Amino acid sequence: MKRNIFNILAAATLAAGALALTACSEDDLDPRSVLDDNLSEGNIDPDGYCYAFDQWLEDNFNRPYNMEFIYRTEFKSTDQNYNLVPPTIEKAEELAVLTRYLWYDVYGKLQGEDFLRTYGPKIIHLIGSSGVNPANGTEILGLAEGGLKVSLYKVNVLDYTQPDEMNALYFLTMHHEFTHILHQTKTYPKEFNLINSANYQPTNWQDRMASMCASMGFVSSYASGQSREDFAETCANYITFTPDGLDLILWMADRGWFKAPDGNNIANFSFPMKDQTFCYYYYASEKNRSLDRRTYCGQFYCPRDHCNYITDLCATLDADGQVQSQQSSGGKKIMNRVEDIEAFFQSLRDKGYELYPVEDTDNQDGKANILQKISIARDWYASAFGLNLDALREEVQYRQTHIDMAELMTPILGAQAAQAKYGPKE
Amino acid sequence: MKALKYTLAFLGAATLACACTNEDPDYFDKAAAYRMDDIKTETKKLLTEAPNGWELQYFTANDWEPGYTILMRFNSDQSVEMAANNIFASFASGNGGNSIDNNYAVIYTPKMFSDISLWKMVSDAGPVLTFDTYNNMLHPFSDPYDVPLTANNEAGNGHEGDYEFIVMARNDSVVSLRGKKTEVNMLLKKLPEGLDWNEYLAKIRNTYLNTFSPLFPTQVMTIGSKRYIVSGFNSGLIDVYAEGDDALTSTTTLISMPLADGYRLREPFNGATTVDGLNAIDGLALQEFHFGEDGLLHAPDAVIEPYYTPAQLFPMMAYKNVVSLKEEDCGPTFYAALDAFAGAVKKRYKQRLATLQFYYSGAERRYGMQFIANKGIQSTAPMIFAPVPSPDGDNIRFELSSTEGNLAGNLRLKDMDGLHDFITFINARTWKVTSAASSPYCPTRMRLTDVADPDCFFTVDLLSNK
Repeated sequence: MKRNIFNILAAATLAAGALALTACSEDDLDPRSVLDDNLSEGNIDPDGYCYAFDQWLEDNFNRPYNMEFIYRTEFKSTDQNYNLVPPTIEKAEELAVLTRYLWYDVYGKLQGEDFLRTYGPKIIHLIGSSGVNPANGTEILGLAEGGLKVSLYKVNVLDYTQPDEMNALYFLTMHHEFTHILHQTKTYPKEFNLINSANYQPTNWQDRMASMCASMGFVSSYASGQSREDFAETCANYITFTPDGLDLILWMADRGWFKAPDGNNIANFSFPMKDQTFCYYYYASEKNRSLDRRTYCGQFYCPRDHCNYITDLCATLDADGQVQSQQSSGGKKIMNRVEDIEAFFQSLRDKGYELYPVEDTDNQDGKANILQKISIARDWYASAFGLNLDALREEVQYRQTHIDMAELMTPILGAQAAQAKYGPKE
Repeated sequence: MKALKYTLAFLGAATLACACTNEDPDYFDKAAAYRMDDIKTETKKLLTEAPNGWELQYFTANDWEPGYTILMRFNSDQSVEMAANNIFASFASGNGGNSIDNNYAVIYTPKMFSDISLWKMVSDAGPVLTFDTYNNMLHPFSDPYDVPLTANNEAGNGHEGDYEFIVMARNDSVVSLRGKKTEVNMLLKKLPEGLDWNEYLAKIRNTYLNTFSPLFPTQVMTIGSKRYIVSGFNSGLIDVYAEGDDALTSTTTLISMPLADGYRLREPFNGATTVDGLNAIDGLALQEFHFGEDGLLHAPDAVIEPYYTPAQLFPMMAYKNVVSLKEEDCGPTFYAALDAFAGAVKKRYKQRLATLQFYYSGAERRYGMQFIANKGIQSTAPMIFAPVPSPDGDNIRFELSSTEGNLAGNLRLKDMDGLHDFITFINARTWKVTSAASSPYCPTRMRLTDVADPDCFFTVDLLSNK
C-alpha cells in the first residue's frame, strides 16, 4: 500500500512539473490596453463640439468631487424596462449649472465642499424624458441607487423661468434623492416610521389625492407609499417648499376632505380631473338644505406633486353625490396662498352662506404629524451630519428666487452669448 | 506491473503537458477587444469622411406608421447634423402639425427641419453607434410619451424607436445597423457629393405623394409565377395576401417607406402569410423596389403592377370622369365636336359649357353623361343615360341614349340643337383608354383615343364619386 502511494505521488509530481513548465511559457502581456477609449482617455477633446461644457463639468463636478456628471445618456446604465431618451445639450447645460447653484453650492456654503465629497453621489446621470409606466401612467422623475448614483429625469422640459415647475421636477428630486443617500449612510430614527405606520399604501399611492394625504400627515401622495419615501419627501419638500407652499400644506393637513364619487367629472371644469376633493360645503338654499343637497367648495387642484392649489369651484351635489351644478368661475381661479383662500371663503360667507367644514374622518392630526416629522428630520440632520435644516432651507429658498441664468451660463457660453440668450430682453 | 505503473504515470504527465500548451489555434488575428476597437475606429472614420453625409432609412418597431428618411452629417468634433421632413420632426421643432388620422398625406412635410446633437461609437452589444444627446429629428421616435397627432394613447411606449444602433456590417457606402432595443434592421447609405438635402427629401416626399393614391388602392405584385394582391401603399402600411386566398384571414401588413427611387420594406417579404403557410415562397426575401423605365416598381424577379387597367377603372362607380375642356387636352377632331357642342349649350343657356362628365349618378341610379353650364341655372343638370361601358381589353364604347335622360336631360334632348350630334359623335367611336398620369399606379388622368383616328382624343380627370 505504501509503495502504491509512493508511485502515485511520483506520477503526480511528474505531471505537475510538466504542467508548470508549459503553463509558464510565453505569456507576455500585450502592450495595448483593452479598456474602452472613451473610458480610458478620461480627458476632454479640445476640438469637441461641447468642449466648453465638458470642461465646465470637469472643473465644477468631476474633478472637485471625484465624480461623473453624465449628460450623454448611457442607456445601458438605465432601467431598460422603460423607454428613455437623452437630454438636449441646451437643457443639460441649464440643469448642470442649476444643480451646482441650487444643490452643491448650498451644501458647500453651509458644510464645506468635503461634505458632498463624502456624501455626494459619484454619478449624476441626466435623462431627457421621464420613465413612464405604460400600465398605470406613473412617471419616474428621479432615482438614487445605493448612495452612488442619482438619475434626474425629464430634463427636456426644463423651463428655468418657472421656479415652481423646476422645483417639482428637479430640485425636489435632487433633495429627495440626496436624502436617500444620507439616510442610507446614517439611518434616521425609527420613530418616524411609526407616526403614520397604518396609513402607508405601497402600491396605489398614485391614486390618492394629495389633499387627503396631507390630512393624514403626508406632504405628498408619493410620501404615503412607504416610510422611507415619506422621510425623503418630508425633507425635500420642507427644503424646497416656499413659505406659502409650506403654509398651504399645513393648512390642507389641518382639515377633512370630501372626495366626490369616482367618475363624477364636473362638466366644463377647467382642469379635467379624475377625482375631486373639497374641504367645505354650504347649502345654497333652504330647499337644498331640506334635500341635503350640498354645495362643496375649497376644491383641491394639483397639476403635479409639490404644486398644490385651491380653486374657486363650487359644485352642488345631490345627496347621492351626483353633480347638479357648478358656480363661481368654474375653477378657473387657482390660489396657493392661505390668505387668498381664506379671503375666498370669506367672500362666500359675505354672500350669506354658512360654511361647514368637511368632517375629518381619518383619525389623524395631519398637521401635527407633518410638524413632528419635520422635527425628527431637523434633529436627525443636526445630530447625524451637524447640518442645520432650517439654514439649509433658507439658503435654498433664497437661491430659488434669485436665479440669474445669464450669469450661471456665462462660463459655458461666454458672457456675450449668455447675456443674449438668457439676459433680460428689451 | 511496476513497468505498467511507470508507463501510465508518464503517459498521464505527457497528456497533462499537452493539454496545457498554449498552442491553441487562433481563429482571429486579434483579441476581441482590439477587434471591437478597430471596428469602432474604422466606422468612425467612414462616417466622418462623407462630406455630404448619410441617409438613415429609419423604421420604428410599431405597426402603425411608415419609415422615415433622416439625413445625417457626422462631424469629427462629435456633433451630428440631422435633417428630416416628417410631421414628428416638425412637431418636435415647435411647429405643431395636423392630425395624421385618415390623412397620411401630411406625414411627410414640404419643409425640411434640422437639428444638431452629439454622436459616438461605443462598445456595448457589439460596436454601437449611439446618438446620446437629443435630436429633434431622431429622438421623438423614442420618447415614451403619448404620440402627438394620433388618436390612440401610446404613453409609456411612444413610437417604439431606437437611437442606439449595433453596427452589423459595412462597406464604403452602406452601413447595416440594428436597433439595439427594437432589433429593427436599418440601412445608413452614403449620400453623393453635391446632392442637395432639401431637394432630396422633397423627391422622397414626391414618391410618397404621387406614386399611389387612396383613390386606386389595389395593386398586384407578381413574384415569379405567384401573384399577390397588395393595397395601402399610400399609408405606408401595405396589406398583402396571395391571390385566391381569403383577404380577411390571410392578409399580412408590411411596413414600408418611400425612397427617392422606390420603396423599402422594414422586413424582407418572404411570401404572404396564409393560414396554412402553403403560399410562402422559400428563400425569397424582397425588401427594396425601384422604379423601372416603365414607371413600375421592380425587384429581382418581381414587379408591382396596377390591378386594374385604365379601361377597367374608367367606368367604375367609385370614380367620376371629368372631361378637360382645354383645347390642348383634346385632339383636333374631338375638339371640333366639343366646340360645336359647347356652342349649342351657349345658344340654349346663354352660358358657357363648364363641366362635362361621365359617371354613375347615385341620385338617378343610372350611368351617363352630364353637362353643366357655368352659372348652373338648371335646378338639376341635364344627364343623358347610357349603360355602364363594358371594357373590351383597353377599349370602351359608349351607348348614350338619344331619348332617355333625367328630367332636364329629356328636355334638352327635345330642345337643344347639337346635343344629338355630340351623342352620335361619342357613340360612333371605339375609345382606347390609357393613363395620362405620371404614375401608372395612380391614373388620375386618362386619355380616350379613337382607335381609328389618333387625332381624335380627349382627356378626363378621375375624381372620387362621393
